[in-house]
Amino acid sequence: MDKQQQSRIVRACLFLVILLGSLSVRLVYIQFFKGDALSESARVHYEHEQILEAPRGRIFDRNGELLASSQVVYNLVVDCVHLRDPGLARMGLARKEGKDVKSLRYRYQPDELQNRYFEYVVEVLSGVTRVPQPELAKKLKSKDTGELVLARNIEDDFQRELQKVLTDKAIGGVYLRQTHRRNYPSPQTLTHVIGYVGGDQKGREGIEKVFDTEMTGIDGYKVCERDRRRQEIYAYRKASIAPIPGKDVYLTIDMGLQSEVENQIVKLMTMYSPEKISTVWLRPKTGEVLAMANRPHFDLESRVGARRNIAVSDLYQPGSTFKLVAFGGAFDQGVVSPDTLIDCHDGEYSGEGFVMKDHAPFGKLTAEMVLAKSSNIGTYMVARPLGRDGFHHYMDLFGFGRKTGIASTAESPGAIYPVNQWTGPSFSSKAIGYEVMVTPLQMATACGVIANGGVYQSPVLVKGVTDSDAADFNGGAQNRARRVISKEAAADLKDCMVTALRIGTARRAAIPGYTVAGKTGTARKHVENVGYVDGRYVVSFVGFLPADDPELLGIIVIDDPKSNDLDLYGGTVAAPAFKSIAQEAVKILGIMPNAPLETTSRTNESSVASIRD
Amino acid sequence: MVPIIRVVFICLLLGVVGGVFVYLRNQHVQRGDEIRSVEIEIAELDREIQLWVLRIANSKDRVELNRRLDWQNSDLRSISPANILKIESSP
Repeated sequence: MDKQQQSRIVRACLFLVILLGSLSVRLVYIQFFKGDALSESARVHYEHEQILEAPRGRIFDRNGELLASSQVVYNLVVDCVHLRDPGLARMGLARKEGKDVKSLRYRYQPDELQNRYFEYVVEVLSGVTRVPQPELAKKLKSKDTGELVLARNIEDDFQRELQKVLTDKAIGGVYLRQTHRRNYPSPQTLTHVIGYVGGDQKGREGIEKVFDTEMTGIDGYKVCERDRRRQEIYAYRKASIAPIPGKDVYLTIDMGLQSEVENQIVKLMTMYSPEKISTVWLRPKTGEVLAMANRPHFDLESRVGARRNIAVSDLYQPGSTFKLVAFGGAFDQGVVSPDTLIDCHDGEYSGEGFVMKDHAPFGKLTAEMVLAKSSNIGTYMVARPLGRDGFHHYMDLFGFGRKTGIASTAESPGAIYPVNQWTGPSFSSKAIGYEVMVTPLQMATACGVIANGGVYQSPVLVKGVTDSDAADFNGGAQNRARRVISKEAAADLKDCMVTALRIGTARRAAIPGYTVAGKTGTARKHVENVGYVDGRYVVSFVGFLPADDPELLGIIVIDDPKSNDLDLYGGTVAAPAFKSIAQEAVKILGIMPNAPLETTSRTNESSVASIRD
Repeated sequence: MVPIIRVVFICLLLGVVGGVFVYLRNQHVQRGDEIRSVEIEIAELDREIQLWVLRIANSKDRVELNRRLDWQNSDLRSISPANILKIESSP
């Protein structure tokens, strides 16, 4: 080897050393200085964080009957840009014609390719969705960009069928997008109580809103690597946190009773075409609401109708059912007993600068008969010794003018007004249930004081909240109990209410085999900016049974009933409605009879004149 | 010659180790894919169970049931819940 050759080899080696050295330097630079940034940008392409959505909690009744649940559904979505993509069109048509994709490249002009593919998509989609082809074609042509939702709420099994068709037929640009829907198995029942969720699956009304936080789960996630088909490589799965499902809510409602109540108020709507009906049924000892229904109705499926829960939101002037407060206060203070003779002034009283009238002229009646006959003047005479402050105090103790705290949206506290805002006749008006605004639920809870031996039990709608495997059952809102009147006063008042059913205005609510305590109410309807309207009433009935050991308490309020052949009173309209619901309810709830069956055989023959109010 | 044999041996060793590594890695990924497909199947079955639970609950809706019985002119229509006997399961 001569020197020249040696020199060439050395130069070549040097060149290679420099080349490889600089490559090494570059590699070192990339590895140590740019490594993090480059691996980060590469990770974006293969690593993916997938959100695992937590299902929303369910709602059940007291017996575990499902009332609301979230469901995975799919929307059939068309990407209008992809639908016009020549590549996708060729793939679809190749599958249709059983040819190779490449062979179609020069076979059709772009417009022809587009039209043929469009016709193919319409034909396939029309077959699976059963939408007529012209209608589908019109819909697909209505948009050139963005997305078009062809069908919503497709259930899982049909989605799989659809997906198979789309794959088999090589339809591109049409996708099935997963979403959630709140499913209400009984969309016509208990609608005002359950409420509903919005498109974002957040509670908007009712239990859905009140327990939104508890029912909303915590989403999980998993970090994984994906292959070129964007499918997860399980072996390289990284962090994975499972979602925590939302908690389930168990209501105190009994759906058997609820459905019976709903059936009955539908009948009442047909019979009397009232403006509104509201009814609440509860277990007085615990305050648990067993049924709650209102009309006008709200349909959970179509979201059409009145959304307000009238039983807790709407106010009415209760009329004679409110007399229970006056009697409760007077008995509690010992200023009147059931045997005390009360002068009812023969049907008209005008001693204090205002005139009070009764629906019939009564002379002197015992306090018990004053309540049974529902004398307005007699009731005022019973309440008068309490004084304005005393009477206001009892209205407050019975829970009027404040929210009951039930788990419902838009509960109204009602209005009893401070004493200094009362006018001359206010005391007498309030004693007989005018100039006060209450909700049906407040009135039922107040009646519960008498059923409970003088103790106020705030109503509860939720039995408990639990996680999805029922491992952690927490009781619902604890109901607050407090004494309102003495046990003796409550017992006396209960006896008066039983008398009202035996020989008073509430006779049509009597149920064979049960002692029922109750009170009717008929109030002239008050229309805003008009005043009290003649011939229009709000009739109501509140009562409980068995009177000795109350298991069931109900109130029914019918606003502005109409009838051509019936006098409209609480005793003629609301009391029979109470009876028809209660006599079914005792069977559903297994409440045993406590009285002979013949007790009330004459009640239905009672003349209307004797049961006015 | 001895160093050459050593080099060859080391290369072979490295090749075998590399081959085993690749084989195990492939098996790992393959098993992972199988687990993933089972996971997907379980999720699908879960959804199917939920779907049927909902369908059963929907079919038990009293209003809907009554409407269907009415439509069928069945003697079972309009039976009040009060007339239905509940038979409790024995403890």
